[in-house]
Amino acid sequence: MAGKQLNKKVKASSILETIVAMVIMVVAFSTAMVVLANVLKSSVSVTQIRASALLREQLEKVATSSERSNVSYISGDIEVRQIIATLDEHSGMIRVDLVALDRKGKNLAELHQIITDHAE
Amino acid sequence: MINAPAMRRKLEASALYIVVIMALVIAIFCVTMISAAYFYRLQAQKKSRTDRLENNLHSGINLLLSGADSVYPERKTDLFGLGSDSILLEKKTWGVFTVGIAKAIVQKDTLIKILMIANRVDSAKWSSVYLTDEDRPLSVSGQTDISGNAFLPRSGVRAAYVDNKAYTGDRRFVSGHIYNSEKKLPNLNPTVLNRLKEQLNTETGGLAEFTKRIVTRSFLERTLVFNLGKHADTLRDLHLTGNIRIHSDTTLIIDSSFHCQNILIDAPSVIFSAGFSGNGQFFATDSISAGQNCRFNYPSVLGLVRFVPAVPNRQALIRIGSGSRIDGLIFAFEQQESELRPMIALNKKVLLKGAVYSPGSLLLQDSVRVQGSLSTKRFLYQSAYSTYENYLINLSVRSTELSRYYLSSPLLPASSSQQKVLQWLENN
Repeated sequence: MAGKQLNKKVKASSILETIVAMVIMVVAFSTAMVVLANVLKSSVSVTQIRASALLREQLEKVATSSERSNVSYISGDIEVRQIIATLDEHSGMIRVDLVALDRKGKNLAELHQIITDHAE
Repeated sequence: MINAPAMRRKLEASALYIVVIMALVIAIFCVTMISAAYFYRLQAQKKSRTDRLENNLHSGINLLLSGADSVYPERKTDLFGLGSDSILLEKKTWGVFTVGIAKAIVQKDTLIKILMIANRVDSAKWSSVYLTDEDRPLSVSGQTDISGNAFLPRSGVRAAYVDNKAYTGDRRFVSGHIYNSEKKLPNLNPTVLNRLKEQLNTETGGLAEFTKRIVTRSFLERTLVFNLGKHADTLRDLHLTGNIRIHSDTTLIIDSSFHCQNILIDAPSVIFSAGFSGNGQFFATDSISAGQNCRFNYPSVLGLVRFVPAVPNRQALIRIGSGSRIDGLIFAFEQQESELRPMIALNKKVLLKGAVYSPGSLLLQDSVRVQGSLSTKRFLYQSAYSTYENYLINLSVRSTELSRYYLSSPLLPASSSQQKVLQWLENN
């Protein structure tokens, strides 16, 4: 009895309805993809966060050591450049400029600070 | 089992309805993503600005602590020469210390930190005892213990028998290096004294009475002055904190119910009732007297300062009651030396963590403990029958026990030029 019921004809959508539905689906999905791509692209990447952490770590090292040279080193995919300058108007103080770059040379993070020169 | 009537119903494909619903779901998903991204980005920008502000503030604080000990009005400093990282710095006198204010501003965000600045001690000049050379030795008796370097008269130290007490301490008398002292105490810093004089001589004006029981004043504002005039007053049941100065032209009595933090009080005479506890800088021209078991928390200052000659035959005096504890500095200063030089007296069982500078005499009763430094022209000890000069009896002076983080006012000759944060006062 149930089999008979199932074998009955079911009314399908018209060809026009199907096309409109497909168009809406395509538009909706492509909009969603664009939004998703933009969101992922514009957010702060893990690499940038790691670069900031690396710069902070390097600043701590500079603050506690007496080494006062300009250095550049690579940690994973990140290149860290350090420039130290003395301040003429403030004796015993130095300015530390730290920049983190990716492999393409794009600026990931910067850190500038004036600290006490323990090397003096 | 399949429900027969349900199966009999007409089933329509309705593709458009389903698609519209799916599109709505996708739209909600998109809106959620955009909102999440917006707030994440907003927070990331905020964090980035805060980090930058904190960096700039840190740099500003380092600039406040660098260079010579000076005061200056608010000035704008371009930190890195880029024009985008500016900071406002200000240093002002607060008693014998300096208050530094750093304001870092990026767009509409501002971070402010206010700190009190003091100096590290100069280990070459810092000593447990500095006794001026009056061509007579220092005598020690009982359980006297002097640890740390000492500046003593050329005639040295000797053991003495006083009040039926023989010397029972270390045979070396001083556990540390002994240097020869000069005929005069090293001078207090004249720049700091001038700044203190200027602050205490400022036209007071101000309020004549306390309208609130709890008053807190920020160091960002002008000093709140209470001028009590010639009316002898007792300060009680009050909580005063911060940038507040109380001035009186007569004796000021401070009750144990009075609580203060970092305030400044100046009067001809200040009397602290027994059991007082607080922190501040207290200056008097004639006398400061503290009752029993008073507690002056770090960094407190008790100072006898006479910038103008005093009435003849009136000795300036600081007397600390027995069982009291002082964390900070006690000093006396006279612009013109009077006949009766100022006296600082520490009664029995007083514990001092810090320094005493007395260009006159320093009276020390039995069982006084000092973790820090004593500098004086003359030591006094008073027994029931007589007064002994340059005798130390049952006294413990250990400069080595002073905290390595102790900071001194730049007023003291033993302070170094290196400035540090004495305490954080305010921030936002």
